[in-house]
Amino acid sequence: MSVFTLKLLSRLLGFALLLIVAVGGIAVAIFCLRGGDATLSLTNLASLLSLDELRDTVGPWLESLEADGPVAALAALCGLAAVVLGIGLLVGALVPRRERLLVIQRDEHGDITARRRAAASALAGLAERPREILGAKAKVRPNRRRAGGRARIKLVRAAGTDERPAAEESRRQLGELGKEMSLKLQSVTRKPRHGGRAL
Amino acid sequence: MTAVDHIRPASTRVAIARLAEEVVGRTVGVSATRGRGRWLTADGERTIDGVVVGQTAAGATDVDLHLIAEWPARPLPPLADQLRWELRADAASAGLGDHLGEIEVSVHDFKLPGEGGEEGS
Repeated sequence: MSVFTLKLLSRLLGFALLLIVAVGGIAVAIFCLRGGDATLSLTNLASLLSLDELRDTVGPWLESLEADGPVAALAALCGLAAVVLGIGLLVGALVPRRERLLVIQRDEHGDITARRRAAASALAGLAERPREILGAKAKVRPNRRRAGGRARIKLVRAAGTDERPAAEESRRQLGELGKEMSLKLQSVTRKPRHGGRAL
Repeated sequence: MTAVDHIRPASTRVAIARLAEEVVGRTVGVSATRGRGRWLTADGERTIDGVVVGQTAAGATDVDLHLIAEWPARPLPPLADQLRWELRADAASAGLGDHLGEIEVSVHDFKLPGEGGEEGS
């Protein structure tokens, strides 16, 4: 099982346990308001949850666990599985996930890599330099096995085109940066929600 | 980060880290990341930021350079090749050439013209 799966499992289980503890805590707190046999008393809560019947049901089973036999063997197996699951969850909770880097070039001398966030931030920074771009967000997805990857740039674009030399230069640099980082660039453009501005 | 200490004796690992620090320092277009407790090598009381050295089972010393690249000063692959070549040359002059293993270059941030970048800000 990969660390990613263990992390996901530990998060889901952690959330579920928190929810159970929270709901249980609220229930106990509410049923602590009164004492004796009143409606909001712990005695009433125990009878609502049928704890007496539960004890009668579980009691003999727990007694059979103490003796040798198939139930004890099954319980030992379940215990072992619980220990393995617990170790897995600990690994998921404590082992840091290795950051997936963008591999720009890989050869016998070693790798040239870049952090995804840094690469995305540089792409977005260049993309939003022309005046018609009101906002840019970039997301870099590195290839799993080989160098390079894909970059998706979401642009909020006003009507018109900034034709200043600086804007042209930024567009050229954006393409160059993508090429340099072995990235296939994909732009998604949308209009500003509230009309935006026109150049 | 303080000045490089050439007088104090150092292990091969630290000696190579010091050479890497010098190479990064004199190369135009890159600077070392701030170590942030992770990407650094301890050198006595100071730290060599942006340089991580580790020894392999075969006894070679691998170097990871964690850098901030100024863009578009130089294309990255030739820049990385230059860093590797200079570090290998310096290590050879210092008699450490046989100890040097792979040199990996990791870019943590791109400093665009007129910007500080995430790390630099």
